[in-house]
Amino acid sequence: MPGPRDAAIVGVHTTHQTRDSGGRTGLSYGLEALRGALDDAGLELKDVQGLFAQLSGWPNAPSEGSGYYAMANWPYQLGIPINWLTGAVNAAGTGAAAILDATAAIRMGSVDTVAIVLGAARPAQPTGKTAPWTWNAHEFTQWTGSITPAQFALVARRHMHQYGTTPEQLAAISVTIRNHASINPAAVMFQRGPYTVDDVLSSRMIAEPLTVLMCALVNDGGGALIMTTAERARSLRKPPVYVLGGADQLSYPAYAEAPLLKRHVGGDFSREWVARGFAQAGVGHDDIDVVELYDGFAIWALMQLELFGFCGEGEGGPLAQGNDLELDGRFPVCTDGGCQAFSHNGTPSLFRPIEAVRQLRGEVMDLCPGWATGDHTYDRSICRKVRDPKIAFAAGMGPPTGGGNFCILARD
Amino acid sequence: MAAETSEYLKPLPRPTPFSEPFWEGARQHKLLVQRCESCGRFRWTPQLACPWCLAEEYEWREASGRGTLYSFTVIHRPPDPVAFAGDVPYVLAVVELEEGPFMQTNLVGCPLEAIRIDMPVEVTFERATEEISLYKFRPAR
Repeated sequence: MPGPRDAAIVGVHTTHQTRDSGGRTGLSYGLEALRGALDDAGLELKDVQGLFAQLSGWPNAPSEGSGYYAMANWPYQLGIPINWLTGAVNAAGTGAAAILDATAAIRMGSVDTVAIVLGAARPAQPTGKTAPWTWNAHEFTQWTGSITPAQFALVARRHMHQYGTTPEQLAAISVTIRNHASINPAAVMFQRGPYTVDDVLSSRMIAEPLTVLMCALVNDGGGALIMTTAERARSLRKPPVYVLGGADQLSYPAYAEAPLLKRHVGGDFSREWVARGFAQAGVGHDDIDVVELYDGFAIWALMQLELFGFCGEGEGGPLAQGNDLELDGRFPVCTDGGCQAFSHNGTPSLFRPIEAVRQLRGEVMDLCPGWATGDHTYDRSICRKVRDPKIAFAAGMGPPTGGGNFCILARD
Repeated sequence: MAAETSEYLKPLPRPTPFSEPFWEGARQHKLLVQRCESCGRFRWTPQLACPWCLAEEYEWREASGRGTLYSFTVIHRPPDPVAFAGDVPYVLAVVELEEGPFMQTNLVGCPLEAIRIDMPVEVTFERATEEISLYKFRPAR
């Protein structure tokens, strides 16, 4: 049975996404995004009772640490009591998983209005070192010289061996995603490209077979999203976007254990949870008009198409090579440029559902002269708006294989 | 090698009381893995309880050191360009041990163009410091 349409997304905001933030903190990005999302909804801070927040860079926070102690800084900083923050310690951070958790809290009546806030600014890195989250500080992992892209490269190589996936197919999905950013003025990689498969393949090698143009960006920025009850949503400024359903699966301790295409204790990873999330939403894959994959690496995007059932096991490569993932195709992916070219600030899960909301609302910034008033040309050299989308899929952060999370969103 | 005469700059494992038997084995060029005393299965990385049967009793058992290459990648962009300067490009690998567990490790002693998934490999130990010998794999001889 499809779940009730009783929780809605009513406000979204993204800050400037940049590789040169000039010393701004994660908190600064988070607060700007929160104010912007509340304004988008026509709500005020005092309306918020639930909070999911993820920051990097909160100097002088009164309470150090993680989980509960770190979250306790929020009611103090914002000057409001917070009544729901359990999901904020979810490793999946602020993306689809937080939206599902907030939906449950709203459905249960624990809170009416929830803010999901994300802000990240990189701490200064010693010259030449990779971003801090790419270090795997683990007794049996770190000495090997692994970096995050290498974990995905291991998965990619096995996928190539097992299914015949090719570097050209990996490059193809990055081309599709990156070319959406090249016409998105809000993207870090705006006006870069358009790229060809050869451009991606011949860019700098990071961890074979992944070249730099198959990998996520490293930048700073923030975003926020406001949810409330369907009843309240109907009286607010923007048309509500309803949460139909979704699902979450944890699979193994990524970056500490070896990434495998099967379970460490044998057998295949379950797919039942994905079917359950679609059943909860009451939709099938062909009902989905926009597919916001969590595309940190080309292989991850490609394998999410398989994981979430947009194609069969091992069929992600061929799917990436056709036109199906283009803006006028069956499953338009990462329509803003994704983690690879819109923004990856370390924990960018929230940007996927935000872009889904913008496509559903028709608020898509691109090079069409009339984009600000919703007038789009659908000329794909300047326009990245999907035609009349009604239902969107947004994935969140997950491990390189075997798990992840997603939510399915719909406009009225 | 260089580790004997100059400081080892790359990240080093920090053994705990729980993992010390493994590192003691590595110093003696033995690859020890936990074997569940209840169901008999081998596991890696070291865990307090068996992921198959949840039994907490285990013994450290010397593995054969043989396995096959489950996957690999050649890293061109190390986490720290200074510490890994002498290694780039180097091979990060996942090895499936004969006894069953999967290990993340480095593949050494193999020309890059000769690496094949599923090729037979064997453990080789590389002394990093007095305390730490690292378990790496090379093509089986």
